[in-house]
Amino acid sequence: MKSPCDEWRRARPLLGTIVEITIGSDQKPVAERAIEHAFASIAVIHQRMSFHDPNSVLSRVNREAFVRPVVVDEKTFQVLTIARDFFLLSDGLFDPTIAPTLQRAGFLPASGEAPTRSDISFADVELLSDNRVRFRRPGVCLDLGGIAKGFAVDEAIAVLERAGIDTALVNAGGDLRTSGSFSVGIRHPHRPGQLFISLSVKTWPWPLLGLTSLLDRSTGRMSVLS
Amino acid sequence: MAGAAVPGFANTYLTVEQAQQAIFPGASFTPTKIALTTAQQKNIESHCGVRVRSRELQVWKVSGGAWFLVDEVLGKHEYITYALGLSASGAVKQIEILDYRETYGYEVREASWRQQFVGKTASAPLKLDADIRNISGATLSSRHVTEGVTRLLATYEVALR
Repeated sequence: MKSPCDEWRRARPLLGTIVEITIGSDQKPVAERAIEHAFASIAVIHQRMSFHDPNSVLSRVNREAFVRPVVVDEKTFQVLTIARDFFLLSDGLFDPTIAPTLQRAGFLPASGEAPTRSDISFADVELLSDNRVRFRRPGVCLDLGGIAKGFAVDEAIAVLERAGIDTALVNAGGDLRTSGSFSVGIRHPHRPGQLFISLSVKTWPWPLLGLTSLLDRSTGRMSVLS
Repeated sequence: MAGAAVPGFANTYLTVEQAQQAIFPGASFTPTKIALTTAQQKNIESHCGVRVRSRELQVWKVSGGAWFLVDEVLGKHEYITYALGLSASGAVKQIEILDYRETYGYEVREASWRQQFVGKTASAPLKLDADIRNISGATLSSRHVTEGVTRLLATYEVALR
């Protein structure tokens, strides 16, 4: 029979949101070490792919990739590859070169880049051998926020599983994934003090958002799905 | 679908003492009573561009020369208490959220959020502009906590170093 498990929950600001990690463990030093390693793996993603940090790998790509191919690290290249796959699968509806449009609308800070043409898309981003990235035209500006969060959550879960934690929940502002079995309560979208529904979640990646929105680039309009 | 009310929604991750041990395991902590002068407040605000909302600091000196601070910011609908550990040289060691609790008067704020949609019909679709306050609670909370950390770093420079 399994011994009773303690629950450990911690939260830190990362990836432009609040990242919450919850694990089950009956040993305090094991739990603390695992949580620390999990947050560290997320901090790495944050440092590499932060749109706001001028020292991140992503910012360097945005500044230099039209001038010459930029070598990036393995993880950033993986995320860019996933982004390209989503871009192709969604017929361009999902497009991380949306940054300039978001900047004009005030969702992202201005980065001092030249104003972009509206016909730029992820098709202008070339992923080359040896983890190199190149922009085909000037004015390309990447925001990996959408995918980087999910990728970071996957990394954190992998770290926790490697540390022998078999019950875990990592939630990056709505992008959440579990290991083992968890009961997740979802708040009412317009009355956050109210429980909307309680779900039993088993080892499943869940991008859960109160409101999911897609930007249609051709019309500049947001489709709101809930 | 019936909804269960969760009155006075609050969530605690760590107490102050637990956060102290999490960031500086095995250390001892000396509470340090510091109230900023008006001059220090102005200095901090011009240093970092973030407003100082309270002149009373919650600071502990850590054995070995480091610093442990507790601060509170407002998220979208809740107060967030967090802890900041600074090394002896004033660099960020770790940030931990301690708790958050829903603000009083939440419903008033919620009604004003919904007001932005009144009058919008299918023939006048929502435009992607700053009128629509679509920033999620977690994004806003994270932004305010990191602004708070910026303010505390300036506070260290002005009042603690």
